[in-house]
Amino acid sequence: MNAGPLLELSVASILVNNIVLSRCIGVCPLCGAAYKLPGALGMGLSATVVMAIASALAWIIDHGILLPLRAEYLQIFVFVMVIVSLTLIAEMALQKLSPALHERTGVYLPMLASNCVVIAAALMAVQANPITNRPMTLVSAFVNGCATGVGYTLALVLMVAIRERLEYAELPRPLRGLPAAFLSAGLLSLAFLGFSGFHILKGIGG
Amino acid sequence: MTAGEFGRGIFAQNPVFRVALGVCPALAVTATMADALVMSGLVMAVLAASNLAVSITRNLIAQRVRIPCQILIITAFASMANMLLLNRSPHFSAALGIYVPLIAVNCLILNRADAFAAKNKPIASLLDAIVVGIGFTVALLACSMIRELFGNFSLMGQKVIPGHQPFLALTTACGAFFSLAFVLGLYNYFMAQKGKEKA
Repeated sequence: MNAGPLLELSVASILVNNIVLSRCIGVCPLCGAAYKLPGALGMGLSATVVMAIASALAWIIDHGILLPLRAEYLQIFVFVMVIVSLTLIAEMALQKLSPALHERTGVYLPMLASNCVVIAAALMAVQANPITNRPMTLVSAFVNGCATGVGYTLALVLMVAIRERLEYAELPRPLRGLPAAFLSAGLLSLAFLGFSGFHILKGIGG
Repeated sequence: MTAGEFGRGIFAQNPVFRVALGVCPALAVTATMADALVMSGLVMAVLAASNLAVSITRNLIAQRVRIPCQILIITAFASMANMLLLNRSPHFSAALGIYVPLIAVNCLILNRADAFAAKNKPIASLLDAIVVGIGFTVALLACSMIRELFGNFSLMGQKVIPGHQPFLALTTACGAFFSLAFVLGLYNYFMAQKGKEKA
């Protein structure tokens, strides 16, 4: 397989179809306000690793077990179980192998278990490839998982940085906190809309 | 449960406005009111079923594995909702897309399961699910009304202002963020006004 479509897929997943800013998945953690910049980076990177592994696993399970058995209806159930156990195993492995790294990223792993971005990545891995409109291959599923994770990290870091600034802003009282966060997310999302070359708008308006 | 508690559950304690739980669907599927209604119906059904199931099994499940078990219960109902929608209404299944399976990990449902159903009797949990579900529906309808009215100049698919070019950006993701911010701001404003009246 040549690298062109994969590169296109990554750019699409990171920027054009950014999971947070244009698909509105995984917004809940942005509202939590619990993160500072280094925390956001740690959370994003752990999410990226888990999403890449989860995408590949989801593809393998779907094509190896569920499709031959004609049991596609179990997809959601199986993916959720795989991801919950994946995060638990990852946390335990990290604790044994690298306690220092665990100290920094370990707290985020259990949170990822029920995070919609990871499940969304797994579900995307078994859908059609948005670039070629054909079923994903194992490689493209993996690349899509990585790229979606990078897109998530990008959105998370941008949002946290904006929120840190907003803490000192003089906003009208009803807009403080969450509404301000959503407004800035909206502005970011508007900026990301530029990546799509506005063909989204043409599609809806026509 | 009195009428006052009912109203408080829907407005003063609204899960979406108050603590921003379950905002993913509130943002993603509110481009038209019909989508928002179908989505809230599905979320409400899954919420009621999973609250009931979690509450019934609350004494059978060990504390330590409580959360994974709750996730599995919710996932089972979400899968059912997904299959039902796919079978009964392929149109809405296509329109709501990936967000229907994502009900399985909706933080609102998980929150109600762990914070309420795991500690209360089945009937109370069912009532809680209904109140929270209605609150969620109200939030989704408020957002989708703004987005459909200004983004498409229509309500429930009926053109309200024909012959003009609507604000298409409102039907995209950024419109979702803006309209939710607007609704939240209004909500905060009225809640603050109400607080002042009491004081």
